Amino acid sequence: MKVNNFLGKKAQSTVLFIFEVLLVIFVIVSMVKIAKSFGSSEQAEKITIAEDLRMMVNTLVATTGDSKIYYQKDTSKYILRMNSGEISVFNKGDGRETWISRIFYLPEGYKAAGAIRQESKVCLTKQEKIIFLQTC
Amino acid sequence: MLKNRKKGIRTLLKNKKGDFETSLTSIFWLVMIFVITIVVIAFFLIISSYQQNVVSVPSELQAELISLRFTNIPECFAYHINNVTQAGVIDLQKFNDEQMLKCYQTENKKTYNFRLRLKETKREVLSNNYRSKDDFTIFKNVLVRDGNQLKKDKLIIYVQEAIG
Repeated sequence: MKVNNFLGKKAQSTVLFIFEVLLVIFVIVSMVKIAKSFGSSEQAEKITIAEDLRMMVNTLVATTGDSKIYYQKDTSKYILRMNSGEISVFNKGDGRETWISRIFYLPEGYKAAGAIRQESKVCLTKQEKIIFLQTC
Repeated sequence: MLKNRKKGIRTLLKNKKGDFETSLTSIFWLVMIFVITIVVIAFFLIISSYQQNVVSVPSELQAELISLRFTNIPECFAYHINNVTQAGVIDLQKFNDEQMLKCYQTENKKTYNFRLRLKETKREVLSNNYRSKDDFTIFKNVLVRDGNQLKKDKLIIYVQEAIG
């Protein structure tokens, strides 16, 4: 009602047109952004690396004696961090909430440790009851 | 006087028509904003679930890899004597819930939990967050060491996937 008082009919339709255009741009930009963030291979790659390493830890736990696994995937874009409960994959400068982490459970007496910063070749080594994440 | 009154009524009617159009436009945009929000959220959910499908690892594989430890290492149920671990041989003395806690202890039920059953020996152990919800089963042929006796058996591993 107030708009009626301040603006003429032509002005009103111009304002509405601008609003429509802005809304359409907003919707398109947000959809493209969502699709880009989810579709980017980086996010999927981080999840894949974290899952792979978790499976490798579970396999190493079940082997008797010392052993070493070479991970074939290139991890040079990421930082990998492992402790006795989880493995995390993230980019430099990422906030904690955006890290991709996978949890695992070790038997009593076992430990896991290691951190790797943007190295292309990664190994998981089991020595007695300790699993190390290290460069190869 | 009459002329003025007629003019007033016309202005009033014109204003009412304008008000009606403005409210229609407002309602239209309210509905549109609601619909657009729903579309964006649906789009987000569809892409998110697609990505999860692409990168997900089959539960059977994950459970199989975790369950390898049950028969292979002395911290679980594998028979261990004179610093030698006999993988695939279950020590019946150790086949209990206390040992299971040492072998595989989870913080909550939002991960894999297990019920292990020796078919012939009829013994059963549970992991700490097992809630009797079997999603699938893994079978392993094992040997069971009971004192000096060694006998064939089948280990049935009931797997409970994440709950909640």
